[in-house]
Amino acid sequence: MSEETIDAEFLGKEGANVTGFSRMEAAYGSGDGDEDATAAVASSSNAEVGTIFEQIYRPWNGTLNTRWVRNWSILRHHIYGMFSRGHRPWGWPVRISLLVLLLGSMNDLFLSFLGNATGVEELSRLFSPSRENLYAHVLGFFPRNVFCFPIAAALLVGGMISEDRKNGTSAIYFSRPVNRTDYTVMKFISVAILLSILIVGTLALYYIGDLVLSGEGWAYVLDTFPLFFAAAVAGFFLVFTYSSIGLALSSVSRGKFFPAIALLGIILGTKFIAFLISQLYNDSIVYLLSPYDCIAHLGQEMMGINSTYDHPYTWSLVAIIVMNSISLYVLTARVSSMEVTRE
Amino acid sequence: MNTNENNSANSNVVPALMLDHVSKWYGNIVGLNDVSIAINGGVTGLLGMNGAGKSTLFKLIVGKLKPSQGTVRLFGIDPWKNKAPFSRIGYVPEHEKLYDWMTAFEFVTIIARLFGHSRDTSEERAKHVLKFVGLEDVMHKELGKYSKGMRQRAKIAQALVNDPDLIILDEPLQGCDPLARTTIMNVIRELGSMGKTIVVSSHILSEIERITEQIVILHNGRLLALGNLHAIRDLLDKHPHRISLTTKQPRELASKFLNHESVYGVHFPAEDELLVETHDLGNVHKDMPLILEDSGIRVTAIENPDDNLESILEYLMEGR
Amino acid sequence: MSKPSRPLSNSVWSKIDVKSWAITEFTLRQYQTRKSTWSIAMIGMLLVTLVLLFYVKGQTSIIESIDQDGDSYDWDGDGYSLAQELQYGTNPENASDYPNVPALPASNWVDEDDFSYSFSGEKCERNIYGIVSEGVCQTNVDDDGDCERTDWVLQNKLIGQGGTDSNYDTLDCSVFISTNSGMTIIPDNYVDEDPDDNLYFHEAVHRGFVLGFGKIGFVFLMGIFLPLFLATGLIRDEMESETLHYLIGKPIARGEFYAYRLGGYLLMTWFYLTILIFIMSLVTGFVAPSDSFFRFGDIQIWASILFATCLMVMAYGTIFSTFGIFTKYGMLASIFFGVWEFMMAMLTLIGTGSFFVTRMSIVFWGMQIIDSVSTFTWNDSEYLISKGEYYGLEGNEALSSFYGVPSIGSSPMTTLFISAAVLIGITSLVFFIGQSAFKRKELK
Repeated sequence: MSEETIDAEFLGKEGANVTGFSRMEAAYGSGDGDEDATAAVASSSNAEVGTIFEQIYRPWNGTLNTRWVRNWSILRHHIYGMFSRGHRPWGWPVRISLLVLLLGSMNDLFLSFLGNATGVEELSRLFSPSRENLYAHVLGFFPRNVFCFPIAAALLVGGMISEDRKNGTSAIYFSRPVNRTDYTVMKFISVAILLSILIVGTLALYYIGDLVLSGEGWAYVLDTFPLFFAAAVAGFFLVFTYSSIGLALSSVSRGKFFPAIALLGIILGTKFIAFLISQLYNDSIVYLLSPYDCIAHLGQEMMGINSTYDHPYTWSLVAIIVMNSISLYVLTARVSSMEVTRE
Repeated sequence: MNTNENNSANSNVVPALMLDHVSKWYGNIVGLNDVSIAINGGVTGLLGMNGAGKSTLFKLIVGKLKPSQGTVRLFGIDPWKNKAPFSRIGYVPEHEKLYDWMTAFEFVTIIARLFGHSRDTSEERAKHVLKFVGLEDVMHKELGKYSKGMRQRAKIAQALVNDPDLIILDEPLQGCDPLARTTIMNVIRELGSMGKTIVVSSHILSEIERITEQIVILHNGRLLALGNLHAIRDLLDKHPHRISLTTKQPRELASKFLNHESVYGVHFPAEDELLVETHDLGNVHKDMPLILEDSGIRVTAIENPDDNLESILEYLMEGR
Repeated sequence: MSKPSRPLSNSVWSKIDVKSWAITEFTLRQYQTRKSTWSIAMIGMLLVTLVLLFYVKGQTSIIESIDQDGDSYDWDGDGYSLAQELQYGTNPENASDYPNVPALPASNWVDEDDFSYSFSGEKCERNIYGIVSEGVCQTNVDDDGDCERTDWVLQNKLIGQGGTDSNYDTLDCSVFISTNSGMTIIPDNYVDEDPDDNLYFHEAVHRGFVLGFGKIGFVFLMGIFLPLFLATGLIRDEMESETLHYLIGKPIARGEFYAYRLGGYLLMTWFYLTILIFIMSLVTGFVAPSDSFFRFGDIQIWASILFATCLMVMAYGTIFSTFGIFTKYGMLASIFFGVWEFMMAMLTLIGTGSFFVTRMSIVFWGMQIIDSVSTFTWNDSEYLISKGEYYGLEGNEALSSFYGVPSIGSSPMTTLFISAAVLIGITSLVFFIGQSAFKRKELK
């Protein structure tokens, strides 16, 4: 690349190819200078001690791409990294684990397929998209919400913000025309999209797959679609809540694994303590502390399943809103006060 | 310093540090390639570019890495298998990270206690070494609040706390300002004068030059040169060399230089710059003040662009 | 002349001691400066407080008593309860036939024959259709004496329930406690038939609480999350941040270093657990139903919970930190190991010992310790459960869901020893593997 092109790009001259190269140079090109250390001597002939050299700033007159293009590149960076190199590096164990969890969360589709393929009617009926099965796909505690979704959320959320803090890579974002809100929102959406694939995506696959397999008519579709829709909405609640709690934890800590463990601790710890209290004292009120149970309660209400909780569902709704507000508050407060250095 | 062969002649002396045909590779990458070296006494500078294998060499010495081939001996003992010789060495690692929540005093005390000293003895020793490196006034401040130079000195202090016979300093001057550099260099020189064996690594020749004359040069994992710096310099002086002078009257000055016996060419790379080419740098440098005074021309800067590690390496590589 | 004693600071032991304590102390200080340690400790405290609030609320609530045997009811409406009419031989179904004494309030015959908790008795045998089992028999436990009442007994004989000796231990109106396999308690009919609901509720829920929180709260949740948070980075964090170089290049074996570091971790977690369990035992001790002002009998069970949880954090801590030595994805491995333990914990709670696979986990052995001590200390729990189920007493579910019979060993003591030995054995094995891996680890 010639000097002229670089300058043209940097100065935003018209007709220049915008390759991003010169901006990359500006960001990464400076080492600590030890590599080729030579003394530079003032070349000006009348340089005396105390001379202040004229500083020339070159204003950048180009136009930025629109905001969504910049945000899209952040989003893309995180999501593409799951599938290919050259984007955010997700470790291979994490990717394999997520793949296993994805396959695991499609087990109802497999079993339904098995039932239809072998013609065992009990099996295909057992795994047809009924009210209970659709609920269970998203909100069933065992095994999905014990082993599958919280772990996936923990793996996704792990280093999302904390690693940027630890390694100082947040500087890559904040030294660009990207504001912190965009940064946070894009991180959030990245996690939410990946988690949605796991939770709502597999739900849709299961529902559509089973319709295709069983060859039911339109009447059946009309009957079951509202249920599917309600389950999907409940799934998005789950995605949103896990993402916000997880990212809040990720923003308060350093390192990859503390937020992951803390998220698991919150989801499963509260669940187990609430279970203990309800077994001992027939009191389901502690379930309000458990994010999973609050959403499960809402889901039961939305899908018309008999509630397993004694308190009214509105309390669960309030609890969910409170949890999310606190998490989002912590997240935004932490990101906006984040120092752009390596901590 | 002795090479390994020399050392085997007077075998009754166990060198502080000995490597015999040591190689170390990480997967396909060769970190160190067939290095043999023995060091006993004095200050030795280990020179090499980034990635030349300096840190690998040090980590092999202090038992963090296991040699892929060859033997490493620390006071005659294999440091990978036996931790006993560590009571006689001090090691200053390359990296920055310290326990930021500790004060320098606590940090050095803990390290002293790891050598098996009681708490009182350790505190006494910690105070002593912190005073030695000049951190006495700030030793009760947390390490996180230290500047880079102070951190380097704290790292040196922890290496001295066991009164070691062999001290290994991995890039102790990296990232320090000139004042801190001078302080650390003084500390190292003083330690050398106390009769300890010291190995210092750096990639900047002039730094090492100010500390010691014994140098070892590593390049791409190989031992490139080993010996007295002056000897190497003398070799270099016979090598075509350039001197850059900044002046308003380069052409007038050039004519003066061309009269000198060792100068064989001049160039004018810029309007106010003169480049003098010579075979004998020492000779020209000796006569330079005279030439300049004779000419009466004002020179604002003199530089030796070839007097850096790269050009030495380049030269040594050519010599092979 | 006295021999000058050798200064302590010079002995070999104190030299080892100095190093070990230096590392342990360093580890403790490191924990102390981390905010995460304090947040975890705070959350644990909050959890215990929350659970204790529910406990106190449960223990102070009053359960309305129900007349389980129906003898307080006035069937004919003459103002005399069934029991009083039977006592005076009048017809309980005839309103004009009633005793010639003032009617006593019906509450006299509510909760009048509570379960007998005492287990001192004579050795005796039970012979049912030729099958003889040995045990302990207890007489004089029929508090209201309605077992020996002839007219009721007559009815029993008619329907073939064995009369006043329905448990076939040759003693009338007695309680037979079989000691052959586990603990089976069989009372005669109309013995222990109208328990105090309130007392039962408080007793059963107290036990359920201690067992449930001991097994789920301490052995499982604390047992697995404390090590996940605190032990996984013991070596790994130092490796990643490269500060390990300062600590390792010293005349100290890496295995020893690892051990002392674990020691620091254990010292802290054990201390923390001791405080938590002490608080819990103190509060429950004062609040729980007991004859004296403090329920001393539960100290054993709290001690066993502490013991089990300490062994758990030790075993998990060693496993997780060893994962951390092996790979930088140690935490991921730990999470998946935790998933396995989660499953096994659930299976263990559902049916102790009935799933053999649970023995392949750590949590099973921790729960066995609590179970063994609970069957030893509260040897009538099974009786309470079966009787409570029979009469549909409130609080029964709380106890039955968390009560478990140890499935290893023939007596509680052997179970305790075997479980502790297994946990210590696993810990030592993993520690051995971990330290030898650490020894071979090259630090780049």
